Amino acid sequence: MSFRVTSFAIENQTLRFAARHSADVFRFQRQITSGVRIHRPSDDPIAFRNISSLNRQFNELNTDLTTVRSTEAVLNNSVSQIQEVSQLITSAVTAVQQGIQSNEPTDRNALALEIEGILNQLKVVANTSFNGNYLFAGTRTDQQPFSFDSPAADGRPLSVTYAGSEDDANVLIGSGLTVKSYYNGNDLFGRGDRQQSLVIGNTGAQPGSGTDTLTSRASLVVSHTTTTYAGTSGIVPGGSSNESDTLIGQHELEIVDLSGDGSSGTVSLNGGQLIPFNASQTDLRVEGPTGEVIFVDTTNIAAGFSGTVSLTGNGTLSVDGGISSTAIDFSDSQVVSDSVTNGFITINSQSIRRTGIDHLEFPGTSSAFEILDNLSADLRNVRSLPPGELEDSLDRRFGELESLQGNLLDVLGEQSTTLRTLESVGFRIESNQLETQIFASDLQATDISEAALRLTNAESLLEYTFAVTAQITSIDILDFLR
Amino acid sequence: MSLLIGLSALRSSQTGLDVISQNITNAGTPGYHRQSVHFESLNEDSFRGRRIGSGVSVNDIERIRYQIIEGFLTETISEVGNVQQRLSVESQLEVLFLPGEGTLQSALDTLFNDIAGLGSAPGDNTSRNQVIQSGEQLANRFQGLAEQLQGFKSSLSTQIEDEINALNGEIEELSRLNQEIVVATSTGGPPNGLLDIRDELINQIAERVNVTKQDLPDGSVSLTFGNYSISTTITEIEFSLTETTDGQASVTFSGGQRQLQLSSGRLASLVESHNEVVPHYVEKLNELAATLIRNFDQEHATGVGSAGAFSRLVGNRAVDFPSLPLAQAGLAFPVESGNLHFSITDPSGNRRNEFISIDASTDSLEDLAAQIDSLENLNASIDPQTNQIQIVASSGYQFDFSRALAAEPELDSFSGSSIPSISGTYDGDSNSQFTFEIINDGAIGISENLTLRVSDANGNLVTDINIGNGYEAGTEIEVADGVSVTFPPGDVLAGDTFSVPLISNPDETGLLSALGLNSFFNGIDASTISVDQRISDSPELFSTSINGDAASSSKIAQFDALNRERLLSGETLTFSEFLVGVSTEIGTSVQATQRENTGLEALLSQHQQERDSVSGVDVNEEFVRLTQYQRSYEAAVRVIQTAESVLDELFQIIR
Repeated sequence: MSFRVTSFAIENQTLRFAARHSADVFRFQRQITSGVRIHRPSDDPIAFRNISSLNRQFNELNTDLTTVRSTEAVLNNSVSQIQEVSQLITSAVTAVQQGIQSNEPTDRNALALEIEGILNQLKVVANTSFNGNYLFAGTRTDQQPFSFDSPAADGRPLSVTYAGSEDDANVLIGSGLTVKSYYNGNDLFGRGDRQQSLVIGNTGAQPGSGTDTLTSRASLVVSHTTTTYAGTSGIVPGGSSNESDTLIGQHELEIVDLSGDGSSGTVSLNGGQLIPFNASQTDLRVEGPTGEVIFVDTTNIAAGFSGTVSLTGNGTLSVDGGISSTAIDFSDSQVVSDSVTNGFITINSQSIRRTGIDHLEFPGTSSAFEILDNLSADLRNVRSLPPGELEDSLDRRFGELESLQGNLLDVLGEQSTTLRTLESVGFRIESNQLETQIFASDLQATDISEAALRLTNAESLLEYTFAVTAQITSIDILDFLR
Repeated sequence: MSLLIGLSALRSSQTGLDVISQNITNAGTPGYHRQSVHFESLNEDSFRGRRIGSGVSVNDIERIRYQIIEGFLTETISEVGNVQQRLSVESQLEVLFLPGEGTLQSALDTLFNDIAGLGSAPGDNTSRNQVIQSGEQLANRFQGLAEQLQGFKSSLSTQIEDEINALNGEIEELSRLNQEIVVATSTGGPPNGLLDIRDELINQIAERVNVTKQDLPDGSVSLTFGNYSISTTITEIEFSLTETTDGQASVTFSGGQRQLQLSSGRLASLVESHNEVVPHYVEKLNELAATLIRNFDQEHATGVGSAGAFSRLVGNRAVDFPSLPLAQAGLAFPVESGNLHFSITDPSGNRRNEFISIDASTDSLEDLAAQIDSLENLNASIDPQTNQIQIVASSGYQFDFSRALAAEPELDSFSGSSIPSISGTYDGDSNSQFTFEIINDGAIGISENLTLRVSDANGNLVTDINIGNGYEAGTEIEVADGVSVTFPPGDVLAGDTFSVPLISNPDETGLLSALGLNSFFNGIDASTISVDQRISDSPELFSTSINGDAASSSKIAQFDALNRERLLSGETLTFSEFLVGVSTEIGTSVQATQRENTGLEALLSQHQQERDSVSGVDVNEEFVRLTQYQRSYEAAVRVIQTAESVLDELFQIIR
């Protein structure tokens, strides 16, 4: 059976294929004009899934890049501040060198003023904030990290309180990589590693064997309480003995009864100058060869006694300016606590021989502020150290400043490394972003030449459809009927 | 005689011309079947011993049709109707889930990106506000999409109803036609015009619903819709839409007693879309929303914002039955048995950790409140109006659910004068405990050979630490896993021990998210999700850390990990991947349906061509026939004229 073709069938076929070719023309025109090949998931579901993944990745990279840039800004600011601190410390080092070389108090006072200026600048830098966040407060960027109390009148060192966090603030910059942004100020400006404590003075106290907890510097006050005399010489403490004796520990008093009945004679402390006495003296001052002093009562010297009497000076130790005190036990590790700070020092009190005030230094435990404050005090010789000890002290300050400078340079190095890492990460992110865009573009963007070709093809087919339909329908029997 | 023969020829040709004219004029009428005139020679009469024919007459006007193809065509129309309707539904769904600016996908990515961005400035309120706004945008997108899907489902109901109403009208019309056809058939020839209209009507019905027809001898047809056959001369047929309480729609008849089985046509697609396709995507959306809410809130609940810990918390999710075990209390999110840890901070800032043990199969919300209430410095109660739990700390105290370590360890077996304290952040993977034992008597920082031995929960040695000479009393000693210990000056005794619970997961039960304590989100699914008002009002409450420090961002990394965690589709997809998967699923479905539609349209076109090759009107062909009948007519006229002339000649003789 031959297949009948009706004009209706021709029309239907024309409409059907014209619609299809028009849809193709529309699709390719849309692809070319928008530049995008995939407008809906159904255009290419697999490509759509990949494009979505790439777009998400691009946005995540964008966030990472923003985080990297803001962290870079924080660290750049931090580096700049630490560099300023480093310059200040360098100036302080120069000042302390000049102080060591100079013997003139006026020169040293001038240098002390310069150091105080540096200290004030350091205080400002340590509390620097960037974009509303304190740079050196660790994770507590909303709190001013350092506060300072002026040195008390009793000579206690500068009080520095750190209110920041002991934790550095870490920032996740993508792909599980974290970097430090806000540094713990205590690590930066605070103390270093504790070293052996120093006792400077002439009481005979020595550092004990324990690990001390007091920091920076303090004073050890060795006070006299009582003096006891061994044997039956008849000599007893004088009226001012408790308050005014300066002897601590074991000493010797030589008594010579010149009268034979104990009414007069001489006494000598530790082989020092002979001091005459008589039976009426209740508070005789006796001074030893190194300036040690006792007060004795000679009213009851045993008749005919001539010989050496052992005497023991008892006393106390205090590191909080006398607020609390500890009886000297003449041991090798006697703990003396500061009732204000709860810190302590272990003292070897076996060799304490006289009362007085010793200066304690705890190397490695001073903050940058304390180092500068102590340096200023030393340049002014607030502790009235003899020239040699003063030079030694300035040498120690020099060492502490060098150590602080080293710490600052370490942090600068770490931050510079982090900045380099951030820069590298930033470049990598930008590169990844570019690649992601390229991949997404490859999948999503219209291949213009291909689309143009297909558009031309669809247009041609549409034209042919209309042309051939017109051609067919123009052939009509009516044209041949007369 | 010749006159009569000529007359019969004249009449037959006239009929032929009429039929051709009808064909030509209906060449473009949908459903029109061309008609063909069949002539027959009239019976011969006997005249003078010879038999001569008496002319011609129209035997039949045949309606030309290709019955088998027309049956296929009706089926294909039904399938095309089904596929095109499905394509329409899927295309609309595709638009709803389309990615791009301002969409759910974009809002989801933006929230997590903004949280990641917060990592460089957790204390910055502008950045915090941005996170809150992103959360609100996300909630709005969820709600908007849920509403759109619900609205779409409602519109499908309306469409189903419209289709059913139209179907009922068409069946009624068909019934009327059938009756006319039966009458016409019994009184004359087949009413071709009515038959065309009826067949066209049946094809219209087929677009709506799968239907097969059977021609009956009286000219009527019976129709079968799936499991239901009807004689279309009966008019009391009426389909209706029935919706069950769980939202399932069905097409029913017999007063809703029986359900029509639908396999193709638009109605089948609409009902399937209403009952399965749209609910499938609603379910997907809710699965995403619920998983996001639960896990995000669980993470958020175990942290604190820059505002620090809480003096009061009210759960934003309620139970249905406060006295029933939690597993049966009607909580939206599952609760498991385990420990819930509290970190309580005293007015001086010292932390202590407490925990309660929950058995979800036996403990009710009331039991939970009683347990919390028994903890020192905490009070818990249940609002009888809302069935929500409230926890309040004693004056000056605060609490949270972070894993921050308690400053003071458990000192039951410790009697030295140097009381140790704990600091740091435990970074282990699981809940554990460190036990510390003092080896030898001595003074902290002074005595020789004074050692602190640290063991883990299994009794394994973690480390030995010198706390005698060489250790500076009052300074932190790093132990392990982020934990540090500090001894002040004082003495310790050999054999003394103390322990520190180490919390990795403060909530083993999932109660915090289930009850909405310190939650970021409110609601339980896509249609109810919103950012909790408490967080919206105070962005500083957004959890970024476990200690509340302004630049501490320990929680940010955990939110980042949550964004990358595969929690959906059997723990194979992240949130974003799941959402892209949904869009891709729809896109793939649309693409497949488009292909199916293209194939079916080609098949339909093929069937139509095959039908038209038989039933269609070819105008040229008709003109040829027209010419033929015109010639026949002219010939008949000539026959009559000749006969008349002969008669005239004859009558001339008579005159």
